Amino acid sequence: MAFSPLVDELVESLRCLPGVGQKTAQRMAFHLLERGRQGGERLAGALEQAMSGVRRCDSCQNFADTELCPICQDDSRRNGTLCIVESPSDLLALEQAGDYQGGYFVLMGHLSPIDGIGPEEIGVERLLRRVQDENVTEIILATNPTVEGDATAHYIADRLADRPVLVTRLAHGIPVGGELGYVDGFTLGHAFRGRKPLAD
Amino acid sequence: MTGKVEQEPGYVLHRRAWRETSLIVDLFTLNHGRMSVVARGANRPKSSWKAQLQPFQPLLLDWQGRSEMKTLTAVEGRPGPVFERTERLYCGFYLNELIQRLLPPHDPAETLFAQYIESLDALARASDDEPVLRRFEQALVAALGWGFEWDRVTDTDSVVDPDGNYYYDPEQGILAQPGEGSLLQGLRGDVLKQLADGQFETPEARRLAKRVMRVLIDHLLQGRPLHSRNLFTSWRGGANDAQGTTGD
Ligand SMILES: [Zn+2]
Repeated sequence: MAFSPLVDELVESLRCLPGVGQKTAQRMAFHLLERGRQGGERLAGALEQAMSGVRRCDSCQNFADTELCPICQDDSRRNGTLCIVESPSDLLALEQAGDYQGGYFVLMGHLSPIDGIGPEEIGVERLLRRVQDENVTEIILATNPTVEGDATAHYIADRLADRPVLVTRLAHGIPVGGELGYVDGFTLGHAFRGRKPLAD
Repeated sequence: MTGKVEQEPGYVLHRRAWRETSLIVDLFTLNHGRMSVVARGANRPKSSWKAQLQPFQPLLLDWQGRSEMKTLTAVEGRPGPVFERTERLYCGFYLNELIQRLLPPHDPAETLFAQYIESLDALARASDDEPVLRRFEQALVAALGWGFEWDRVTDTDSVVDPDGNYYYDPEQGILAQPGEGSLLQGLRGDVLKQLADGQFETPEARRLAKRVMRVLIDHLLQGRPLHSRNLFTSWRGGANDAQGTTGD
């Protein structure tokens, strides 16, 4: 091609990032080579370390550097409550909200038969074992309010039906500060079905 | 502009992320059959399309484009059926997976589309899901050119005798004599008659219809997997385990 094999390889490699096409990859590569050598070396080092060092936490399946992630290592968070989320970014959002003090289980996806993703792929058996071993008393299902998220929540709730565990689901509905007239029917339907007595 | 379609009734079968902020959405539509569109920007966190482009919601869709992959330009939706029970939701996934795997793209199937709407509705309301699934499977195989009559014996070109016993070959239908391709045997004539009359009430009728449709659908899948069936089995297995433990 037009450049040296090393530059071509760098451009090609950058294209594995989401949303990065040929043009963007070229721009990134030239920036690193022209003005960002130090940043580029740091990036290369971080990438190499992360790719070989980051694993899945044995307990919650989230990304971790060690067998257990920091949250699972924290004994105060083993309080009998587990919050089930689809992705690490969902976990981060809940952590940033700051209200929740229990443990997590990260499914790393949701049930999606057309994609061939079943209960095994999202670690349901591991979750059930953990509920048993840690005497979990409450499960909070925080899967996304999508059809697949619903299917996943239902599956887990049904599998826990015979255990002495309180299963709750995050309420879904109208965004704070939102107006009913601008909320889509799917969201409104969810909000309607999840309505609560005002006395609560 | 050519290739512009407006207000087309359709349902989402499946969606997947495409590039940073878009979705590729597989649709089942009234006049264009199974097809895919790009929904640009629909994968942004605040996109209103993201909530609307969900399976089982009745939609009116606009798209345009001359190439194979069309671009979605408008979506209008209203809330669809609500599956309160887990197994009904999985039945819905099963219908979608059947269409996705078996219906060839860009092949209008209006009768199947009507049956699909009726099936979703029935799954949300009806007390019994098996007849719903069987009727949908029959409409699907008919749309694919594999329809057959429950009471028609193909090798003797006659009507099923209630006292007879029959064979089933997915290539040929109900047979009086076994052949190389007959995968099922001992199908009772009186039960086939019940099915021909649309009667799914007896356990025998249910079992027979399920066996025959399963053989035919597996034949049409040619070894491709049907994951929603596995999900259903695993869910039911787990639920049965749960019941068994409670009973102890
Ligand atoms: Zn962990």
